[in-house]
Amino acid sequence: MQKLLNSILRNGTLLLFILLFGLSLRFIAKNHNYQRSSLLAFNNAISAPFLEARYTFFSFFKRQVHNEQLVAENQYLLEQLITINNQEFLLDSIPFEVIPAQVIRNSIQLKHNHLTLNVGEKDGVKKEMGVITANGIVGVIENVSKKTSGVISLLNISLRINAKLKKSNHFGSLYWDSESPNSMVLSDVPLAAKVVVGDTIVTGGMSAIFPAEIPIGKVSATEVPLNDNYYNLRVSLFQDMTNLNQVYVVHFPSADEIKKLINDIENE
Amino acid sequence: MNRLPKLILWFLVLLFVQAFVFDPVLLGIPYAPFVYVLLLIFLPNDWAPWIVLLSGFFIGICVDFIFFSGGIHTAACVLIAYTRPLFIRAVFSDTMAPQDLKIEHEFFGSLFQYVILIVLVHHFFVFLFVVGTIDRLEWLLGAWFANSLLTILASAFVLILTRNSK
Repeated sequence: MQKLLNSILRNGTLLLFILLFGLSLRFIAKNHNYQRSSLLAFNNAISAPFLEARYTFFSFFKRQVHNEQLVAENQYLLEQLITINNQEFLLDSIPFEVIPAQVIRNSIQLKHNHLTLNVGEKDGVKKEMGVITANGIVGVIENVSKKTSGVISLLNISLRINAKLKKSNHFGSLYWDSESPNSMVLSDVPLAAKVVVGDTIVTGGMSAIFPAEIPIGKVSATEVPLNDNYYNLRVSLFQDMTNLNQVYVVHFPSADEIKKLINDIENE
Repeated sequence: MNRLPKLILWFLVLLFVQAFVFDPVLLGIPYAPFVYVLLLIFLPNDWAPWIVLLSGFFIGICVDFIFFSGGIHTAACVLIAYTRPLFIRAVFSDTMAPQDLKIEHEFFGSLFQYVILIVLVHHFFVFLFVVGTIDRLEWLLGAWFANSLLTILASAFVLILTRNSK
């Protein structure tokens, strides 16, 4: 016993190092969304005033770029509006509203990247709402505090999104493989789809998160894994995830009904 | 100035700069210097090793909170806090006891070598923990090199400023 105590005292620093290093590795291993969600909300709530101040300060210098982005977005939205107004029949359409928001924090270097928006409960933001820009989708709301909300970025290996080929309506599952912040992978697309490089990928609309037909990116490479009947498509994103400013949170007024319907179908 | 308040001031300034200036997304570049590493270098060498370890752990936790990086910086900081005496012996003298090193009295050249060594080792582990595997060795080496270069340049700038102001 005496020997053991002596040994512990002699190697105290090494034992403390093993303890602290082990604890840090445990933090890394536990780095999943579910465990992080409440911590992210707490982090956002504490740092929101600083992040807002930082956003205000830097946006003064970036106002020219922001203005250009907003002009481009307005133009795009106007075009969409005209297209929709000119359609005689608007099938498959579910009415949705958007909540404008600013990205006050964004990460791109990690495997589980997140964003923070300057809108929260008081603006009508709720969990599992989609976040988009005029160029494409950005992520999904993960947690909401009073004035801010945390978003799972597209650049997060935990996120999977239902997407399809615009030209043929073949569906697949879109995920990030952490290769590059500019590209993702669309898997499970049947070989019957006849995909070529340059095809556009849009949201599938099979959930109450994103409306259908929101642009995502273009196919930049195709691959068929050995002995498989499905494509793995490399998709170059339209939205530059490293340069996000103005985004829109998508709100389906009938989201709860849609979710209930989906649950009912899945339970049958 | 007394040593502890000076350290606390460094801690606040470097973490503020790390959070509100050197953010890759904010700067619009894929990498940004991790200037907070200077805190590990500035920790007094006559402190007991367990205090240095706990300080490294605390610094890492704060940085992980800022970047929401879930333990990556904490692990790298603890590793550096533990192995720091080895770097001191490697750069300054084989016979030098770590507690004899006074950062403010050393030649800039040796001090800079010490900073480079710590930055390189620290950043290698940060990016290794980010990737989680050595499969993506090319990305790991690229990110390690680019980020280390930026941190070394920023650290040199801070060191020159602080030494000139004395």
